[in-house]
Amino acid sequence: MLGPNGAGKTTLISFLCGQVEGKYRTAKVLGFGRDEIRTYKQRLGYAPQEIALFPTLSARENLNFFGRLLDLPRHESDRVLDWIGLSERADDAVHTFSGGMKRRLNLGVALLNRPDLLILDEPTVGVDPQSRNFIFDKILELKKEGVTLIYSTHYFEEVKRLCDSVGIMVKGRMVAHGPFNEILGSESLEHRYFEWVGQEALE
Amino acid sequence: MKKLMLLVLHELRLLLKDRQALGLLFVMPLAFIVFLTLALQDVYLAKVGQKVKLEFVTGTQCDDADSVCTKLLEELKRQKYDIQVSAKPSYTRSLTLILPEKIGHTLDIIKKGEKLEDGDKVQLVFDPTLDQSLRALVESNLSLALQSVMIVQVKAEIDKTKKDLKSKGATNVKIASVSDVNHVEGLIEEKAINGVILPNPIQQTVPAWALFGMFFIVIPMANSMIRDRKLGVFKRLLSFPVTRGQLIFGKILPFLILNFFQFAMMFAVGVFVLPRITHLNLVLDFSYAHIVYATLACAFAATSYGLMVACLARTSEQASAFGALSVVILAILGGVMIPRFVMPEFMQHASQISPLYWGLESYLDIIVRKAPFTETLKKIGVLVGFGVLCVLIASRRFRWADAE
Repeated sequence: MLGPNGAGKTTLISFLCGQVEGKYRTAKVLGFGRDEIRTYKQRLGYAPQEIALFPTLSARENLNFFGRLLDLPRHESDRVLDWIGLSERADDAVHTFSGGMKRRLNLGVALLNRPDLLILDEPTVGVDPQSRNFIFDKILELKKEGVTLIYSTHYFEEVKRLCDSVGIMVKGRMVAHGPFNEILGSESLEHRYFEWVGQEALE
Repeated sequence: MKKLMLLVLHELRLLLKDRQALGLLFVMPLAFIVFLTLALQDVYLAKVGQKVKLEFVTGTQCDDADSVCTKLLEELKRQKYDIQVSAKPSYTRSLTLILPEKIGHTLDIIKKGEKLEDGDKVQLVFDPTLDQSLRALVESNLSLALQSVMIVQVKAEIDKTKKDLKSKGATNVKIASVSDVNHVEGLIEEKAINGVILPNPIQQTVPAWALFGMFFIVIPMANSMIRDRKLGVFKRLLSFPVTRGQLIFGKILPFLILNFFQFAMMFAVGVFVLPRITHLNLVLDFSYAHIVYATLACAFAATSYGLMVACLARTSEQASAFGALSVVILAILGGVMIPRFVMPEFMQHASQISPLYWGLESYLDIIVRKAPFTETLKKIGVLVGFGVLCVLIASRRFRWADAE
């Protein structure tokens, strides 16, 4: 999902994560309606833009807490720690971690329940190239396992490397969406993006 | 319920790891209560009739056992003053009583109804910072002591006159006799409403300062909520299978529990530590159940207020500054820092705005006045109402994420 700042990407994600309450039109996600939101949330993985972790707790304590909210056994935390390459730092407080390690743990929390749908909101912001590549590899691994991913970003190269389809949001509307070959034609992503967003985004 | 318990335990764990917040919650009110009691020790002692330290400057007048000076000294000692007798003033005590060169002569002038010259007057020198009521009490005690000495002198003179008249053959001499002044003692018996034992200041100050400490929970609570909002933790938690109610009460309940422990600990200090400092006991002759109800109501009011401050403030700095300042103002207004009886009438009415007023009155009802619980229940009701109002305001302004 691409779009300029303020386009509504994060707001859309909030709706998809069931964070917004009120009288809105409803949609089914993963086949679940609004009245099945608790079951839906059991199947959902979400890594927010912010490092939404408890800095004074260790990596393991963070994972255990979020895991218990999903009624998961503790060994799921160890599995995730291993998967994100933080087993050796499992018992260190998160505030002692580098930016890249925090990002990996932020992603790890979203993977605790082996989700069917994984929503990642700008997961590589402020990350060094090494950690960024690590995150990309892991995302591609998940993709191969058949996990549906919604990936919000500002970077074209990330979209090209990771995604099969693209949606472009401008001022709260999805102005284009679909598989690459359908919406790009012979043009490059950058060219089509500025065509759709162009002047409207600058206003 | 399981999820709520999980959230509560998690919040408690976070609090235990936050030494700064714990310090603010437990050490600060404790230090406050102990240091304040130490600082006001003399005032407390004076108010409950314990010995007041007084320097008694006599020159050489008290050498004679029958002198007016000796009689006055005995009278003051009987009034429970801790007296240091000296020939010249050293002003090492907050009160110094300096007798004129001839105190007997001064009393003679008074008896004759003549005007006293400056050199004949008794001087009472006091530290200007001394409590005004204590000063008035000492002045009145001194007048009483001098009057007692004079009455004894007058009685002796009357007895002598009667004896003289009888020796000169006079029969049926009737002069009204002045009885021993000591007989006046015990005429007035102090009793409080409901026939309870007279309260000592500890019984009033411990609940007051404990309440003050409890309301300081506003700062760590608001900061904890703002931190979770800033970190995006709230937003993340909303994507988990927990309700908003569970998340909010998961924040309130741990602080409510801590508030309760805070009160228990400050009360323990009142029971076990303060008596060693002040020689005054916190008498535990009240209903513990009533104290629990009042404390729960106070804790609910304090934590709800914290929730409201967290929702109104945008940053931790705002929450800390507003939280601390507003609690101090509410404490002043509520009669915690300044007794309500010294306030002008309109301020006494205004103090009812403060939840600390209702909290303090509830505790005083239970601990000091031994009022019927129906009376206290009304005050507890006001506290719960205040808490509900704060929760309602908070729910209108609650932001799960910073960008909202």
